[in-house]
Amino acid sequence: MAMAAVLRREGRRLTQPINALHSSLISQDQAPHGSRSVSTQVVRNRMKSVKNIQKITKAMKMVAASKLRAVQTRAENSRGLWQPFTALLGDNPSADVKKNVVVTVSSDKGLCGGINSTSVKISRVLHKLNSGPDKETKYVILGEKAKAQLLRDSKKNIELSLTELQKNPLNYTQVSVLADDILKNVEYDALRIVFNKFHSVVSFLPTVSTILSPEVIEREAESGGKLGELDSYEIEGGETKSEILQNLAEFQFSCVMYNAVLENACSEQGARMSAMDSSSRNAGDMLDRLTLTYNRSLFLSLLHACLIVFNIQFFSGKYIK
Amino acid sequence: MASSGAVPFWRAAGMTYITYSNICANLVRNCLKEPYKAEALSREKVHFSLSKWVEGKPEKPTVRSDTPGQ
Repeated sequence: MAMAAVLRREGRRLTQPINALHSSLISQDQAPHGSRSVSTQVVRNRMKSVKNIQKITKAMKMVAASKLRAVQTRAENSRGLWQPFTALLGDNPSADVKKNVVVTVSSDKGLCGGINSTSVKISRVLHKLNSGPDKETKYVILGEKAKAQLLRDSKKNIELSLTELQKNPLNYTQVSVLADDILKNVEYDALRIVFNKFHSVVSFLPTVSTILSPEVIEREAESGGKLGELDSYEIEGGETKSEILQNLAEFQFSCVMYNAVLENACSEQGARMSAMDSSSRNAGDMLDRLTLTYNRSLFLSLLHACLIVFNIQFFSGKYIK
Repeated sequence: MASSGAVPFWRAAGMTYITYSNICANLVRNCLKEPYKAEALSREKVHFSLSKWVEGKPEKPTVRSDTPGQ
């Protein structure tokens, strides 16, 4: 997107010479001699740079497309990991608890449209919704981009930040170690994971998954509702219920994190693909306009040269006797 | 996390369920036969850097790399 904006701005600046040419066509005698050959040179340089930009954006689009294909199947398969948990424990986005932790998932690299801003926006909303006199909300940030955005207004509330996730292809072990580190370093009653769920190459749904701490699950279970059904399951081993709930909550967190990270990576690649597509299209449009300007100014300068020759010959008395 | 009764040995050792299950999964992966074993182990690479924040300032990041328990 950023690149598209830059291209558009460049294009706007370049319409100036076209207008200038129009006016110079009308008042041709006032224009200083030789000025047209300079503008052709400028336009030619600009054309070259735009062509290079187009090449780069096209290449980036191809790379994003191939990465997307690799990560898409994994993301779709990973959905099977959290679905049983949601069936068993339910998703409780409205849970009202004291210690909230917002886990914002974003990308390390830019040039991928607005997906990072969306997740940051949603995180800010969650922060505002869950803040009160005796409540506290902290951020845990994955990826450079959300860090840069949240640094501006809420750096006091950042608890942890994690980067360089995508150095190796994403896998469950990595995300579970990461989830483990988050669990060890923050105190929480509810973890709210914000990420972009991959829908298609051009649409991503900002999504919030809520994970409650075992104590809160137990409290909710006692007050009835969907969680009360947990008692009807037969559980092997002589472990206590709170222990099982704790294990479940930890495992649920790592599974949901795995899915969130994959979905977000998938959305990132998709968004980058469409952003690069539109910016190479913009570069193409601009190149067309520039070619037109270039040809026109070339034609005009030739015409001008002809006119000069003609004038000299005409007024030198060759044709007027 | 007060749970009445005996806690499992791994939680007593300060592990979370995630660490415990990762170690178990790693053991299972090590039981594979050779061409599959190397493939499965190379797939599960860990790399990320983590930094804690104190008073709005990031502390020095720590890098977690490579497979745990190896």
